[in-house]
Amino acid sequence: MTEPQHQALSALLDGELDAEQADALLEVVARDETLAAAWHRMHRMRDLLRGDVEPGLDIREGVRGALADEPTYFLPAVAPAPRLTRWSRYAVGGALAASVALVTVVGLRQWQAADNGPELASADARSTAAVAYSETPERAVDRLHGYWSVHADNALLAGQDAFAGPVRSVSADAAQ
Amino acid sequence: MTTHNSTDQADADLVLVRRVQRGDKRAFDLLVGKYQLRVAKLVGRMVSDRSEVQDVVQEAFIKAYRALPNFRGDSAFYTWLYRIAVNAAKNHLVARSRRPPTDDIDITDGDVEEAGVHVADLGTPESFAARDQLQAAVARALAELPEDLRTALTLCEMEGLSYDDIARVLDCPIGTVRSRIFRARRAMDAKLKPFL
Repeated sequence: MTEPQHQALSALLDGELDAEQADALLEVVARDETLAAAWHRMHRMRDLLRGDVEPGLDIREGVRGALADEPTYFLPAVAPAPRLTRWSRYAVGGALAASVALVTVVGLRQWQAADNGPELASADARSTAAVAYSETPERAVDRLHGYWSVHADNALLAGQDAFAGPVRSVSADAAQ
Repeated sequence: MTTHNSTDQADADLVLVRRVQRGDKRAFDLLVGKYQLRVAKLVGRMVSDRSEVQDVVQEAFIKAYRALPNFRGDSAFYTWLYRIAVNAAKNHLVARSRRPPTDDIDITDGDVEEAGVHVADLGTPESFAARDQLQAAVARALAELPEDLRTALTLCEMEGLSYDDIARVLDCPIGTVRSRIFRARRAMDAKLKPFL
């Protein structure tokens, strides 16, 4: 156990690591008895400082023994929801401001184009339409299958049946 | 002011839960270590026999492990766990042919921290003496910390403030807060290790 690991464990106890950092640290804790014991003592100390004193209460060994014959789960990984740090909050704010500025500039240009004459405006409209309908039916089906796959994974994690996806996929295939 | 007792703790628990769901049984051990005392307090409100409290708490954690594949994260892990513990205590009382408490124990994300009841307060004189000794050792270890470390740790542990808020209160960088809290814990750990 290194001092930075121990310090990170202290921050994890306080919920001050983001999901990725926490996951990486817990990967180490899972293999390091000393860190696992330190984690346990930190929690005990927290309980004590908050007045929850119960000498001798420790059921970990009993639970570990009882779970020895229980199955180990292998559910598919779910990407942890990103937690915004101070810097990423600034970045998101900046991106939002940039988007608003972009929309304003594009809107202004189109308004000016419409003002300049119907030919220029309709040329802009044609180019937008060409972009919007460029997806082929095959790619649309691929995209639907992608959605279905994600939906099925989430449904499995939630312990539900995923039945809506295939219906839509078949419909899309038939439409071709 | 924001505290680190709600969302952040729920995030940290969810990381552990996801690890268990992906095959890391040791991660469940960490959850047991984190919540065993609080679950014991809850069960102790329903089951008065101290030796039975430990059995019920253990049973609750085993049931939680078995149900974990279905945990979706709709509620905080500890809220979900506490519901399992309440049911385990009720089942235990029914199995022992005792009447379970008629009052429902409603648990929400916010109020589980507030159950200020010690586990089975009907302890033996020896357990009372051990508790007093432990409380005195904790108070002594805290008092012996340098003031800057003690203040940071107190704001964190007793007041439940986030590092961000502690940095504002103490007018120092957040890295300093993190370091002070860690050093305070390390110093306390060295003194209390025999008791923990």
